[in-house]
Amino acid sequence: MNAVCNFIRKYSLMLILISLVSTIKAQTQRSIFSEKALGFTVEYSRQQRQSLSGILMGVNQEFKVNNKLWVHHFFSITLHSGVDPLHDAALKNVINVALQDPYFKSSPIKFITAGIQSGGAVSSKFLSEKVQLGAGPLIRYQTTNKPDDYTFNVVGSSFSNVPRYSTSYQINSVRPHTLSVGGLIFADVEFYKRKGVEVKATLMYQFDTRGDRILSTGFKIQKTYRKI
Amino acid sequence: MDKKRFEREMEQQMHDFRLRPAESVWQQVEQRIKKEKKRRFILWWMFPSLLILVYIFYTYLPKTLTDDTLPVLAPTVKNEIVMYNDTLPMETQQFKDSFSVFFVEEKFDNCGSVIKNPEEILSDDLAKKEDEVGFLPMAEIENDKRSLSERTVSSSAFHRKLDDTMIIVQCAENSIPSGALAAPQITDSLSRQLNFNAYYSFHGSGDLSGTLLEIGQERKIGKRYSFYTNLGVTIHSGQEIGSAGVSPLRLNYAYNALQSQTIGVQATPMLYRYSKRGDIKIGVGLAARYQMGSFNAYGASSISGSAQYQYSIYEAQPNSFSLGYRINVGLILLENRKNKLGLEIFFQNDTEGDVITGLGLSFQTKYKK
Repeated sequence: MNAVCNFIRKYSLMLILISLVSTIKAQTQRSIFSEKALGFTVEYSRQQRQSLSGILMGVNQEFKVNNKLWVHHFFSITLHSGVDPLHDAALKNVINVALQDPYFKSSPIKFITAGIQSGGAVSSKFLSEKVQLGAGPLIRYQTTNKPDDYTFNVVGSSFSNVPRYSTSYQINSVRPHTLSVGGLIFADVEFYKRKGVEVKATLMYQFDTRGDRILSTGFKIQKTYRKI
Repeated sequence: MDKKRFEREMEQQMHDFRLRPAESVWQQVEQRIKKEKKRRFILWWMFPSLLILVYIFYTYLPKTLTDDTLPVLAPTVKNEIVMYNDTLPMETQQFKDSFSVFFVEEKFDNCGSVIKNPEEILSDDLAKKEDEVGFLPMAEIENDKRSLSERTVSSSAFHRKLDDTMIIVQCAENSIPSGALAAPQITDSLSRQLNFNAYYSFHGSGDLSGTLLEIGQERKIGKRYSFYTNLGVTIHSGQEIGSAGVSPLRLNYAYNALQSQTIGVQATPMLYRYSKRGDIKIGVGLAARYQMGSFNAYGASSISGSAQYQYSIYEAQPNSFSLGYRINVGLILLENRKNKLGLEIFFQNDTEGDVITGLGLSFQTKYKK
């Protein structure tokens, strides 16, 4: 078991990248599916557990199994950022700190979280194939500088009867690199289709074993991808 | 003498050659024949006059033809489906020059004109006479049954049946070689490819490490140049002063030190030049990049009685948009007809002074629009 975990730790990123390569390479192989398409997704995304906003960009492949079932393979990148809310909230309690201490200088940490994820899904289409609902598993690598546990301190002191203020962050626990598995559910609504190009509005919710929950909404542009 | 030896070698190589036209081609041939049958009624009245002209041509004009002269039946109409009926008499024809005959199964961007299996043209009688057998130069289909190469061979004598037809399949571009030695390349029709690149990269002087993931489209310009448009994402991170002796690269591991994070979204249109063999490429391009970073300046002090640090952030790093340049060098490691896998390195710099370097893999797949 330890050996398996160590193997996954070492090669997790490579496994995710291989799945992206297979997404594209699968286009080159003779397909048993009657229809297939390659699409690009751009979505506004909200990392709910960390309260960060950002975007999700991805590549997805869709294969038609039969009239009721489609299989998906996707690869996407999430980028979220936000400013530490504790900094400004704490300084609000200190009246006119800049006037009291002209040497005071402090800025909040900008939290940035980036994720690379891949997975698959199955879906079904409804309402004359305009609405598509699906679900599936995913594997996600995440890198972040937002601590799971931290404190922000404002320290006031007096020097020659002149107030002095300083701020500091104490990082108690942060997991900068994590690999987790999870699942997602999505709903696509097609609103434009012409000459093999489809444009869909998409809504997706995903969760993983790290406790992260991400809600995304945006657009998906998909095209029939004819291979040589 | 050399000519005869060459022709003999060509015969040996072509002996087992079989070309099977696709079913769709024969359907088009059939449709054309049906149309041609209506025209034959008119052509029949012209046949005697044509016979007289041919008799005069072969009796009174010089028998030797220059190498540049095309035979009577050389196709003159280009880029459309044409069928010719051979109206020559059933006698041996003497041609001392060479001409090209091509056949393509599908529509290509750069393709020739007509091909005909020489065994269908050559009569059974002539096939037995090794010295007199002539070969029509033709394009071969190889490499998954499709590739184009040209051989030009002088034909000495051959029989043609009255109802033989030469088929020209419609092409995207006008490129009948008519004896030219340049062979249309099948890869020219596959002028686009989708690239996926993944690099292990460093941001700045190396204190931040991470990855650049990129997807793009490469479009060929001529034989040795291509234009590459792409969208990429950079993710770099590093650990600031903190717990000593602990690697930040361990997955799912918790630390108590300040982490710095930088992400960027960039587009780097590039112009590539390939080596003659096509396995090495070097590219230069512009870089347009939007970047977000966690902080600019900070101070750290140890907490008394513990190994932990506390951090004071003095300056936030604003989001920035910058322009720059990038240099890429790539080497193809593995290649088949549709896909390539290569090794690439790059160097990038921009107006914000962010130097990013990387080494990684590139997967490229060709496709038709």
